[in-house]
Amino acid sequence: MQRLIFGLANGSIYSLMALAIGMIYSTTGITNFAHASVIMLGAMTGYWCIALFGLPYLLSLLIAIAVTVASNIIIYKLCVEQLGDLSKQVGWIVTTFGASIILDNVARMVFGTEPQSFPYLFAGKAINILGANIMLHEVMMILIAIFIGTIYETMMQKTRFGRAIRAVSFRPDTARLMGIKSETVILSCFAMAGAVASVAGVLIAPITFASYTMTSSIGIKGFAAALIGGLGNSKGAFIGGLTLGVIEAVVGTFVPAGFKDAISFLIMIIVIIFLPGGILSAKFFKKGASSAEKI
Amino acid sequence: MNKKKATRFLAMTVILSMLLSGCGAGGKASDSSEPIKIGVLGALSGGSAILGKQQQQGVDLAVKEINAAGGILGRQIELSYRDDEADPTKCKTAAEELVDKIGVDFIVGPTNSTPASATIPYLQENKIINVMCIASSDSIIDAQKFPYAFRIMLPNGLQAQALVMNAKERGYQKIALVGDNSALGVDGTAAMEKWCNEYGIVPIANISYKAEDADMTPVAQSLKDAGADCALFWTLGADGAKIVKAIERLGYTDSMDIYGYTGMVMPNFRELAGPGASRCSSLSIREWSVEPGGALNGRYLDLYNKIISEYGEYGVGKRDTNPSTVASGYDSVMLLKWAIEKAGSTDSDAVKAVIEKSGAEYVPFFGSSYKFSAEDHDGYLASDAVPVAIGEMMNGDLYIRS
Repeated sequence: MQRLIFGLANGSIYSLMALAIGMIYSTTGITNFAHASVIMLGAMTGYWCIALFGLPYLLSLLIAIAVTVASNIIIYKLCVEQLGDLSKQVGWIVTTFGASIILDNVARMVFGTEPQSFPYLFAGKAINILGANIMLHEVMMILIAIFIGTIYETMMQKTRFGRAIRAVSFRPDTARLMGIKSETVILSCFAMAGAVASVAGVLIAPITFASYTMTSSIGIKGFAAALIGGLGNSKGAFIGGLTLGVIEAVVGTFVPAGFKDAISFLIMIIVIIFLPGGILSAKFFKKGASSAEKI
Repeated sequence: MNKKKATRFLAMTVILSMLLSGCGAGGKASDSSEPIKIGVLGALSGGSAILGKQQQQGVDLAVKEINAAGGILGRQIELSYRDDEADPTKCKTAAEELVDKIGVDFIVGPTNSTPASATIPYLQENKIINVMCIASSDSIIDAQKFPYAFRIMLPNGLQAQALVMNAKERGYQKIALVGDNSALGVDGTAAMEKWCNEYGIVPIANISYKAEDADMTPVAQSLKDAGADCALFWTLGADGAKIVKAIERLGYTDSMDIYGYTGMVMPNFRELAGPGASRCSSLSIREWSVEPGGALNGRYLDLYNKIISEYGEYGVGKRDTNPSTVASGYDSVMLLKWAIEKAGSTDSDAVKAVIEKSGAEYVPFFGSSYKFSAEDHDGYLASDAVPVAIGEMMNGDLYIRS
């Protein structure tokens, strides 16, 4: 039970990472390789606000969100928008990787090299469920991820802005012709992805400890979760993230430590080979949905 | 005829040039106006960056002092740092640059054992003395294979012996071994297993995990399932802290004591590990730990005060380095200074001979005395290591003996 909850909690973070990756992919067709570093930036900002300035948790989170929203906007302006037509070149791979390296090194210089203890929600209190010691923080990780996913899905389906995002994702040129400001939509998606990154960062930091290398092992799993669920698919992000988290938790119980990640990524490769569009691209899940419904 | 003379003259010039360049081969420039170049290899970024930072602070402090006092043999020290990111390939490349391009006379570091393994053979070929003050693998010090490599840190074998010896003396019945699956962790666990055999102990469990993994619950669960009353950790600080936290979550903290090698020691271990840190001990050099209620003294206290003066008090947003590790970096340079002055030159063979034959005469700032010899380039004995409680620190950064 404990491993399952931990797997779901970790999976929630992978889901949030995959969601943010999908937000950007769906509107630009690119993968933001700096995303893991932005998560780290959010966590470190939150840590500094709490530990150094003694600010309340929620205010620290809001400041962290402001910082990561700003950083993602800067990344978009400098690393993506300047490249022009993204469908015709792959320079964004280098620019976003470069942004990631710059962020990591700046964080190292500003925040230092030593891992820091980040406070759990509810002061790390645990409850006993069916004999397992479950931390309220882990329960909140799952609930917060579901909440964010629900809000995002509602926005996408029920609001004008959501329809604009879907239009840009489906047919960017046509959306532009219809009067939708594609650049504003894309910029907004980068900003939203930055906000989600901060939330993911402060939730995972108590477990990984806050340091400039905190996302080195989990960063790639966000991409894996996005691929498993279907890149650009918000529902898929959650399916992929939670699936990956649970697989890791189960596999970790039975195999030596060194093979755990190998098996997780093997499963990812198998999914991609047989379902290149992710799990949700399987016929079972399609049931007449149009391409425009993919996000 | 003129053409013959010209050819003869050209040939003489070429031969003379070759002879003159050959004069410099195998020896160091001894021009007293030239600085003494010391290269420093270590991880300044990545997961091991704290090690490189500690080494750097110690080296910088020593060089600043030495240069202010006139240098070594009237020559200033010139430092060249290279960040190897704890990567063996990068370390070797950096070493080649330091030796071939910069022309360093000596090297301090590397900080990590795996990069050191990749780099030391190259340094030996070039007769570059390197003093290691952090890397602890047994395989990187061998007076026969690597005659120019020296170390002033407790090696893994000695630490493993000290940990097992301590566990046996304290009467634990179910001793588990824990280490990560890197070369460091595998070597350390193997060393502990070897000493368990020597002392007639059968480990109740031998648990491996992936370094820097976020989820250490399987490790904690394995310890609990085995019913261990003592766990010997060969882990780095952050990973060790995660495991201790996971043990606390399983409600097993009070059932087991943990002893870890020096790599587990970090100033904020208690903050990271939580209340379970009170059950954790590690090893420290005797001179850089204090008795409960005691204090540092003599030259160690002086150096500690210098570290505070130069880099500030320890704390969040302030200095985050361990003063004993900073002291090891400091002592690496001071040892070289002493040996160069005693040898009267920077010649590698002369300096090496001084360290081997007279190393016990050197008054260290890290240990109490070094026992170097022609057969042994490790400075310590097992008795130089004392168990220290990681959960309690004096001034937040000095270890208290347990």
